[in-house]
Amino acid sequence: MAYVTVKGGREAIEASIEKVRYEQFKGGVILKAEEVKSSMKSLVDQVMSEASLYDEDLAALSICQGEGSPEECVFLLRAYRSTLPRKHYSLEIKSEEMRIHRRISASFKDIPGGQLLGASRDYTHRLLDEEYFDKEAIRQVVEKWDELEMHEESELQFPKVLDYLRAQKMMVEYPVSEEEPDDVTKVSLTFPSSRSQRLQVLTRGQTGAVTALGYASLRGFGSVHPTVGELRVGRLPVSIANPMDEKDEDDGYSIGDIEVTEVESIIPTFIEREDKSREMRFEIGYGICFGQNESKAIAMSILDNCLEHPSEVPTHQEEFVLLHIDSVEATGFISHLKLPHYVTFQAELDGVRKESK
Amino acid sequence: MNRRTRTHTLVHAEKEFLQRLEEKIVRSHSVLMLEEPHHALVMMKMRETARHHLFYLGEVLVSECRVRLNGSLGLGIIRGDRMEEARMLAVIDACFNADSPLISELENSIYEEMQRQKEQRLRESAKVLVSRVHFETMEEEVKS
Repeated sequence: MAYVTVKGGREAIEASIEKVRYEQFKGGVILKAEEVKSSMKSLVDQVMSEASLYDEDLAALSICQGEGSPEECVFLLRAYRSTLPRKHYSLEIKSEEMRIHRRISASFKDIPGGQLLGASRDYTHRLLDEEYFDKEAIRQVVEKWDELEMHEESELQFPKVLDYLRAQKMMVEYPVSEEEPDDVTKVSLTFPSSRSQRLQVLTRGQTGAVTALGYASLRGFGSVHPTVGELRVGRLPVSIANPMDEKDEDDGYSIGDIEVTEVESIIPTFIEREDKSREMRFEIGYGICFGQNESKAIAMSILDNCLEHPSEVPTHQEEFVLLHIDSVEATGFISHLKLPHYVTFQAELDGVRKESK
Repeated sequence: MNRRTRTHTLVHAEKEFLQRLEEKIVRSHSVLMLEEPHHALVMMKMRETARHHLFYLGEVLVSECRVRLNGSLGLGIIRGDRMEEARMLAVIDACFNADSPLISELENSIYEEMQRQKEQRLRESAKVLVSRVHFETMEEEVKS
């Protein structure tokens, strides 16, 4: 079968593109990027995470331009990112250095430093509030929190909750790996995948897709049902090595910090002793993503553990999970179906006509 | 004060603070621009805590600049679209690399800023600590 060039439609396409801007601006209310950044943090976080590019200002601009459609915003950011040089790799980031502003455990009531609820909608009634924009109420809450009295000081850095189980020798122990990570943005994903590839693909996965597959595992299309050992949200410092002396980390450059959500889920497992008897231990499912996006981080921790234990079940199959959760790949392939398939469809039509004669 | 500690304080400082330090330096030294401030990416390498592997968390936008001062190079790099701050950081870095007589004066300012940032962090921590849960265990009901 040959491809047939078809001309035409240029003016229609130009009109369609211009109509997008007309539809967006005709109401007369035009959101600025700084307004989006200030008042739509969850969407900004989601877009940065799925684009795998951390910058709140760019994400906010993409949200304005993409009219709040996450798939469009992520596409814009991924395209922008491809125009920039990657000039550095960070020094190893350690989550123990996180300055925490939310930290909970579903496994232990009493944890060192305590359970810090921070800012969370988990405890709110999901009722639409017609007085949400009441200026006086907004002024009062901002004033109250700005003037909060300080009764206790803390740098908000706490040990990991699961250190307790590690100290009790109840966790499956793994040696520290110094293997350089693979990078799926440089070399395409191949199977069997490495652990670093799996974690990179999961953390930049589409929130809905990651959450859906994590949920599927809980419902029986997988065999991982964890308890959240620790969920922490906070800021991680990022540094690069001194390009003139890469060995001395203290001579490196701090570039600032980023906000992440990190989850360690506890999953019971059996290990085999030397005498072939089985002993119960716990292992961790690991989830992390940019910003505060707790469902995604928890779901990632489930899928991480699923993929460490391959089986016939869909959520334990790396190709099934890893090739279907990327926003640009999934929406790109689905939306290509909108492109003209005139010749292919004509062939199908001819086939049906012949059959029906 | 090592470079990592110094730059950690500087990248969290207000622009006006960096500007004051830069102005102080350029009054005494001539600065040659080697690389104008520009955008770039840093890929972040993370250590996960389940099986202790390294992986790439994603990229972060940075502004970066390079200058020369008294024959010494200076690198300024900061997260986000902050071109002017990148230039200011490069000038300050070059000044330290050049062992300028201004160093001790600059360090004193940076120590003061470090203290100010610490106090700010501690004030902010109150907003988190107020949401700490204080569990109360109910006494078991005795059935007669």
